[in-house]
This record gives sequence, C-alpha cells and structure tokens, in this order.
Amino acid sequence: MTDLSGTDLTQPPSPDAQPDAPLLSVRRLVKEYPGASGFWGTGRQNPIRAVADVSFDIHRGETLGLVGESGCGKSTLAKCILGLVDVTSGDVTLDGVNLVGLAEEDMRLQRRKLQVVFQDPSASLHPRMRVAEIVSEPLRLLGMSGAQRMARARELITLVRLNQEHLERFPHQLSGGQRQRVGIARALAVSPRVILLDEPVSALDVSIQAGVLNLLGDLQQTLQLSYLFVAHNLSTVRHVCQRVAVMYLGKIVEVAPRDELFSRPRHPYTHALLSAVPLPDPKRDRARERIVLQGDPPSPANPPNGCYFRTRCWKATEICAKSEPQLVRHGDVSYACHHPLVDEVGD
Amino acid sequence: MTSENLLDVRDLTIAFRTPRGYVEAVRGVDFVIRRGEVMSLVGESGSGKSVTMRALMGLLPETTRISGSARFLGQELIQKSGRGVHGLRGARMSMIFQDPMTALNPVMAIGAQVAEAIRIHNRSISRQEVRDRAVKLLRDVAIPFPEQRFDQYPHQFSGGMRQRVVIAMAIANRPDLIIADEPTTALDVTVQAQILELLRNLCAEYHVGLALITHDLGVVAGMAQSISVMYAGAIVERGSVEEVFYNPSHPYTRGLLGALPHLTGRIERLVDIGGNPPTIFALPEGCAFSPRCAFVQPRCRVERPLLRQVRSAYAACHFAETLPAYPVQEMQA
Repeated sequence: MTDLSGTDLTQPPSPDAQPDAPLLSVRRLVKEYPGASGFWGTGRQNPIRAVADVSFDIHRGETLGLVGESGCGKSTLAKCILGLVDVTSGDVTLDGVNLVGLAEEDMRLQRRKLQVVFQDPSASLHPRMRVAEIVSEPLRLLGMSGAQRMARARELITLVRLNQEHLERFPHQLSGGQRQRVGIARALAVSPRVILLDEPVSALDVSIQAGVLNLLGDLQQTLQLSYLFVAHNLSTVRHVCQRVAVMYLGKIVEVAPRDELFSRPRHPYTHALLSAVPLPDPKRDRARERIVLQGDPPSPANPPNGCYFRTRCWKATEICAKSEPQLVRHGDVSYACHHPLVDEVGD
Repeated sequence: MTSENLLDVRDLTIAFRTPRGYVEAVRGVDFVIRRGEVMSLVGESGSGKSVTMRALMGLLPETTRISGSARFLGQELIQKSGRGVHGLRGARMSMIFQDPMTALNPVMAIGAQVAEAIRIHNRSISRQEVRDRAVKLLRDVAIPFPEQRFDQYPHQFSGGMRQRVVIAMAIANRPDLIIADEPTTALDVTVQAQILELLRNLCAEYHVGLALITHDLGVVAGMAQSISVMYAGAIVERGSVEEVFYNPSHPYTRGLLGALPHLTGRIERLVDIGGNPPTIFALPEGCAFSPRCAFVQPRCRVERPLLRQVRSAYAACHFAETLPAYPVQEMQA
C-alpha cells in the first residue's frame, strides 16, 4: 500500500521495540463501577468489578479472540483498552507505551496505532455524513489536506472491496454489510497496528457475515494487523482467531491456542460453552453429549467466594469455595481451575 | 408418531399496503406441520419467515392482503374472522416471541400474566385453581421457587427466566401447535441451550407441533425434523433436515451452509455469497436469487422457478439436478 499522506503513518514500529515483545499487553487490569445506592444515598452496594484482574498479550499479526456471555466484561475490557473509560488499576501497553493515565494529547497520538470497529454499523456511522467524509475524518484530525484525504478515501474504499461510487453515498443508502465495510475502512484510515473488533459481524445476516470475515482475514494478511476479536459466537471466533481467551464474570478463566481450546478445553466453563453451541450438522448435533448448565451467571456485584464459576460447575468441591483459582500457565495453555478437564475430554 | 397434518398452508401470499401500493412480502408459500413435529422456517432478515407465521396468528395489520389457504385442525385460518378462529388462536395454537421483555407486561406480576393466559380461554375456573395451575406451569418450565416467583415482576427475572415464563404462557392451554419466532436469539449460548432443551422436552411430552422460525442453522440442526428455507418471500428449498443439510439442492441453501463458520473440522475460507438480498420493492425478474447465484443461466433471469421435487426434497431452481455435486463436508473433529 502506498503512503499518500506524506506523514509517517506507515513507518515501521519504533526501533527500540523488541521484535518478540507483544504489540499490545494488558496487565492486571481492573475496572470497577460504583455500586448502586438507595434513593436517599443509603445502603450503598459493593462496587461492581466489571473487569477483575485481567492480563493478556497480543503479538504482531495475531488475532486474539475474547469470548464470553453478556455481562462477562468483554466489552468493558475493550473500552478500557481504547481509553473510552478510565481504568481502576492496571496497565495497557501498546508498542512499548503505557496508555493508562496518558494525557489526552499523547493518547490521541497513540490512538493512531489502535482503532476500533463497532458491532452496529448503523449506530457508529454518522447518518448525515457521506462515506467519503466518514472514512477521511480521522485524517482531517491529523491535519491532512483535502486532496490527500480524498485520495486516501479512494484507496481505502477499494481496500474494503466497495466501489468508488459508494464514497458519495450516505450510510442509509448502504446495506448492513456495506456499512460495516465503511466502518472497517474508517478504522484503517490512520494505518493502525491493532484493531479492536467488537462483535463486528453479529448484527449481520449469515450470507453477509462470511464476506466481512473473509475481508478481515485478507486485510490482516496484507497489512499485518493485529486484532482483538471480541465476540460471543464461538464458531466465528474459531474461524478467525489464533488464540482465544474465555471470560466469565470479569475474569479470564482460560487462554489457549485455538485448536487446543476447541478440542481440549481445560476449564469446565469453556467446555460447557462449547457444548452449548448448536452445530449446523443434524447427525453430529444430536449425537453429542450436551452439558446444559443450570441457572444464570451470578451478579458481578455479588460474586461467589472462591471460584466464580463454582455455583454452576459440576466439578466443584470444597476447595473451589475456599480458594480462588489463579490463571496459571501450563505450556501453551493457561487456565484458572482447581479441577481442570485434562484427559477426560476427548475430541 | 402420527402423521396427522396439524397445519396445512397452501399458496399463502401476503401483501402489505405501502405508499407505493401493495407489495408482496410473501409469495406462494406452502408447507405442512404434523403433530409432534418440529418444522423450521429459516431465512435471513426480510425473507418473510416471521410475516408468514404472524399471518397465521392473525397479528398483521388489517390493511394487509392475505390470500391462499391455511387449514389448522381442519379450520380455515385465512379470510375468516370472528370467534371461531379467535378461539383457536392462543388456545390451540400459541406463539413465543424473540424478546421476552416486550412480550411480557412490565407492570404486571409474572403469575398474574400466566393466570391471564389460562383464564382468557377458560373463564369458569376458580381463582385458586387458576393460581395452582399457573404455579404448576412455572414449575413445568423449570422456574425455581414458583410460589415465591409468582408475585414478582418481569424486571426481577433474567432473560432466560423471562423466556421460560413466555413459554409457560404459550403452553398454558395445552396447544396443538406452538409458533416460536427466534425464541433464543436474544439469549446467551448457555441459556439458549437450556431453552432449547425445554422446548425439545415439551414437544416430546405434549406431542405438539412446533414451528420454529430462526436464522440459526445450528438451532435447526438440533431441533427440527423438516426445514423450509425462505428467500425474498418464497420458499426456495424444503425437505427433511438430513436431506437439506447433507444434500442441498438450491444454490442459496448451499451458500448459507458454506457461509457458516464451523465449530469442528477443518478451517476453510468461508463461502461469500456476495451481493445482498433484494428488497421486496424491487425483486429481480425470474429467480429472485439469480443476481447472486454462482450457477446462474440466462433462463434464470426471465423465468421464475417453482418449488418442485428434487430427489427426496423440494427446490425452486431450474438447474437443481445439474449443479455440481455437493461436497460432503469433513465432519471429523
């Protein structure tokens, strides 16, 4: 891709960064929201730990999947990384720079390396702006001239496999899939290193999803992007991610390379989650053993003591209530469980 | 299992009044649901699957033009108003909606809502009896502590629990047919598994017919015996779940199956159908899928294919027999 901007958008990473160092590194990240209080300001409840001590790395050109059910904190975690909410404690290091507590001006510079694509493209695109303006607005903030911006917009629209005439349209004149491509083009405008994809295809129909997923894969190859792919659909995650982290009630309970996680889940929650996904194959879906969890996830305002999952876990024993399992690394795989499923779960 | 036809829909066509005149949202749909059978109606947004079922429930605006026939338990549902049909709806056939929060009244206690569903079709029973039956229904759908939960309100229930309440209301009068419109789409995957299991058990226990409207082919595979695939207001393929999943005859069905990422097996590039579904305001000439079809021929652009028998299923494609053989997918984990 040619750099038409004349700025340093496509410069290689800062020379002092080590080649093996992770591009994005999250350490002991905590995000608490104040608990609800009574009408008279009395009876204040415990603060809600939406993200409770989360650590992970994303390497260059890698896609890390972040999966979990609603309320598990995956979107809050994404907002913390983007700096859209203040974190309570912990570090988010991007290419050697800690983003936590960065001044607004410095954060703006760092955001060029870190962009986001949201779930609902009709909500995240300005309805009164034409596609050309939407896509080139980030460049205006970088002080690029009109002609340069237009040239870059043309380049971007080709990159996401839309036509030049789409540049003149408004979002409502586009289909859902086309809108999401515009959202991707806008994220690519400043040539980021990492893109945070927050449920990028969940709002799209199946026949449209495939095109967007293929596009994201191709862009990653040609532009050497790193993705954090936040999703609830495990089949989609398996398709696009090299490593997958599973969240439950604000914590990561398991991180593993894709094939390892999908064929040999160690954490009972991961296993239950996988077993709950309906397979689009009648014989296999009916033949397999199902684990149907009882009940709903507990409230993050009042999590159980010990292991957060123990109230729904079929393997829970006394120790699970007494001590909270830590996320421990075992080779490629990390999990937080006193009774991991190792040999029992075959594929 | 008896093969009695519970519902027999023939040539159902539904047109909405719009500022641009009447527009057909559903065109010539036929299907049958047997007692004890799960029939799935699959399609993407705007394909007409929900409109079809809402027409049967009498939930479409009065200005809608509905033609064709839908016989339920021997009674004609279409073009007939009055008490006869009203009595069937809600009692002999009931509906479960996608979003339980909008299906429930937020300012009415859960128990009272279930009780209302019982009483509306059965005015003679006593207050105490209604309460007992409502509590039993809540227990049947596995709501813990139904006596205590009876007096609580929808906001005190989780999404999965709310959907259980909606299901309790749907089975309150022991219907013969339940129409479920995306019953698990708003739920998390582990909760979806619970609700699907509940529906599966209810169908087996009460021997009802279930019309399952969904866009999720995974849900279909695990639940349904027969499937009808809709595209742009018409059924393009219909057959047993095994036939349609393992040997799809319509290029659109093939595209849908190929577009799905799988949880097991080899990871391959997804099939991108390309293009977008047409709007009902501007349907293409001939086959509605022809602008997106990889196997399109000149005939497809002029002549609309009708649903016809292809092997042991039905497909609306002129060239269903001459399509390349469908690759048997690698299904080893």
